[in-house]
Amino acid sequence: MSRGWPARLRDNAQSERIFVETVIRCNRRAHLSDLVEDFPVTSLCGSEIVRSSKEAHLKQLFVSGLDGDRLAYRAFLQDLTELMRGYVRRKLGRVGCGDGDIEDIVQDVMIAIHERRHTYRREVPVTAWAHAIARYKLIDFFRATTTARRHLPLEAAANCIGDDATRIEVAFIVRRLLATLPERFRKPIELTRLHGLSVTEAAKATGMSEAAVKVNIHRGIKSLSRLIGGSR
Amino acid sequence: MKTEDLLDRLSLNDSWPERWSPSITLPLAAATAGALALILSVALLTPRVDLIAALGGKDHAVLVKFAFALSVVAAAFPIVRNLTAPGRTIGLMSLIVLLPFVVATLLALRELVALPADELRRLTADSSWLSCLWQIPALGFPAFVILALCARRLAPTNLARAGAYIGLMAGGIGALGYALHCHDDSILFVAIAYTLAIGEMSLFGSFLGPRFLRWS
Repeated sequence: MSRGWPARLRDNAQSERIFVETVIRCNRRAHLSDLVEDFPVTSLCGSEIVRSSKEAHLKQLFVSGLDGDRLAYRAFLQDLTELMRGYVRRKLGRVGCGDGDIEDIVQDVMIAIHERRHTYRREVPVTAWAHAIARYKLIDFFRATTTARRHLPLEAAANCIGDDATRIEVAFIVRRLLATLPERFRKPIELTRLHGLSVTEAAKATGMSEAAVKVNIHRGIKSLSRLIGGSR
Repeated sequence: MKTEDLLDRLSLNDSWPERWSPSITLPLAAATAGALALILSVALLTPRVDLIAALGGKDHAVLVKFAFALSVVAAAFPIVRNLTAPGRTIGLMSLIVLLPFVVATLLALRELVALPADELRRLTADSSWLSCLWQIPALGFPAFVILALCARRLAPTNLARAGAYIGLMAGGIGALGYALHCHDDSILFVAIAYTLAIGEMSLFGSFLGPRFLRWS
């Protein structure tokens, strides 16, 4: 994982950034491993849904849809969307994604399902097939966001947080949390993230080596994650 | 866009991507890739001069090489098919791909025991080890591209794994082409050099998979 943090951040927005990144970072690892881990389809049958009546219902609609029954296909899409929304929400809810994000992904999933419907084999459960595609789309989303978030404009980071009152609160909390960190972690984070110095400048200012600054930023953010409560 | 509207549009759009039906796409891709590898082998590497004689030879070395390469391809094929159809599991079935390698190793061990020491020395000294290690992947690469392009039209959901098995299949196809040219008739050679070269392709596929097989 590269640490390509943007160098210049100002004001409350900086604290929000740290907060967002911290939350994303601490949740992401757990989630990605949940997702990427290659679970057998049968394990979907547990809590993941797929009560057999539902499967039979969806399958019947889908198969008649594939055979040309438009109404059945529309009903299938409708019911499957519900299922996929639940799945995506379970996987993404904890990362702090808003309903908008979730709905976007659900739509992506539904488009993918529609466009790849020729890969459906009738001996496979529809729900297993759909979940495999949804999981693929989610991993894609994570992969895209883990790189994109680093270059996220500040406004977007701010949107993640919500209204002004919350933003001020978040800034306040981050500063308080930062204050609890040991000096060697706190200084590099403050200098690079809050005051916008580069790693080299921060190294000069603190008298640490550049490598030490980077490592301490990383460790500091990790401690912050732990303080916020995301570590496992 | 609202999800409801999207669903309406999807259900009205019934252009059916029939051309890419999985049951046709993959076999067709494999056949094309195999033909291409054979053509490239004949055109670029030139087949061994005594090919016909060797085919009829009493130890059937050329046949063994073909059988080995073909069985690698045949074993990888159903797994690639399952990996490109979402919701299918491969589980223990994936162990089948080891079978050709196990058999080749056993035959090689038998040869190793029977072989006199000086013969063995000759084998290690003047064999086409190096050329095999790059020529099989070179012949397999076009096969990999063809297979991967077709697999993308389906829906692989575990890209690294799909890439690895497509690489394996492409390696087998490359070995098939190389067997026309290869003039080393020892099974020991096949077991080691071919296996390494095919493994190379598989590793390569697992790295390329996540980039190359991505679809949206």
